[in-house]
Amino acid sequence: MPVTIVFLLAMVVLAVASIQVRKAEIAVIYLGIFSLFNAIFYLFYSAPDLSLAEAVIGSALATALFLVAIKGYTLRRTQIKSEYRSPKMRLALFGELFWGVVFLTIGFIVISFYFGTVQDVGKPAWYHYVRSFISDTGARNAVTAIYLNYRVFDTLFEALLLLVGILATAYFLEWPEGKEPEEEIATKPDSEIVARISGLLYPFILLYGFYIIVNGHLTPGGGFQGGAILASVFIIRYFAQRRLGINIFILQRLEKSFFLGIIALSMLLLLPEFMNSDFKVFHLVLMNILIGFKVCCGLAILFFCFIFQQTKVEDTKGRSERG
Amino acid sequence: MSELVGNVLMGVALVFMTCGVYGIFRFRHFYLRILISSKVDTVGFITLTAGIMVKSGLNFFTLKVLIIVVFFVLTNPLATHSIARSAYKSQYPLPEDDV
Repeated sequence: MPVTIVFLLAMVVLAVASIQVRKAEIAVIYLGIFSLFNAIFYLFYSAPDLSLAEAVIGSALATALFLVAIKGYTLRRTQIKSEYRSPKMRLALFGELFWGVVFLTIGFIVISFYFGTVQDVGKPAWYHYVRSFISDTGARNAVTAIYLNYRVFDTLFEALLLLVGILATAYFLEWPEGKEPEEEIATKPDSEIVARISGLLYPFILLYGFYIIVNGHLTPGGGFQGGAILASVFIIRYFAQRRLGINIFILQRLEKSFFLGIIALSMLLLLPEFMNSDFKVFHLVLMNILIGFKVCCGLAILFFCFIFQQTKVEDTKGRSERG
Repeated sequence: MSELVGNVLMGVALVFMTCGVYGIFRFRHFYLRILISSKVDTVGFITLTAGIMVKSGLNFFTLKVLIIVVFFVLTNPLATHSIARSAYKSQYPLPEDDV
């Protein structure tokens, strides 16, 4: 199909451009466009779930996080730049490049051996899932049927990974003990127009996020995607009004309790006599809602950690300039 | 009849967009370019969607397109405004003469 070839070529061009460009901010923008093309490309291969996740997380949340991190980093860049130019550092970089090429070659050789020996056994699992997922789980969306019913314990560990990653980020970025982070970050809104119009837009974005979560078992979408959309509301709110409006410690506690709820609900699948056909659908919707809120809390915490770290760097810089 | 009007509107939208793309390459300065690119998006897109709405007639699909247009009219000038404002606030130089 020629359209897919055009998109593939554009993705290759954008990937190379994001590596080759000098300024890190522009590279991040290129990466954001790359994931947007990636999301459209998933649609051609009829994976709208993945496409939604990629569009929200890849091109909106990740871009914002990278930009915030770079803004904090560039304030300290001059020191690192001088280190970068020394001949010892260059030698080290060359060595890294050499070993990278060697390992990549070994990897390709191993993978080519693997493809030489792989044997075609047909797709029995695929046929089984596609034939019987409606009667087994009550979901109309096969992806939801798999990740919330057939393989629900995989989903548990996936959610746990996100939780652990966020806890580690919050731990290493050092919240000040006993201080209200809300007080630290609050400043004046940047632009009156942006604040007003985005205030008008929140209800629609919230409605869209809830729609994606609640209809996760019927249409493309689900807890992860809808949660990311809900988290983007927090981010827009921060950029428009320069205040959090919510305590981060409460968010952390909420995320943990939502995770406990997810574990408790998924244990119900171990009691088959309890799961009649009406309760199955209810169970799917409830799981999706819990996962959505948990992902929303997690991504919002991650974003606010980065924002807080950046304002701290700016504060210390301002103090050293004044003093 | 509505089909013809819709096609004509879409053609007009394409003309707008072509002019806009030419303008982006014609002007050299950042502030002029951002003005032109906002024009391409807003005017061209609104005309195009008006063409689509006229062509499909009164049904549910038209309502969905109308909601998209309302969303776009709210957000696109907002994005242009914030880009231009942050460029001005970080002291990006204004053009010296008019072109």
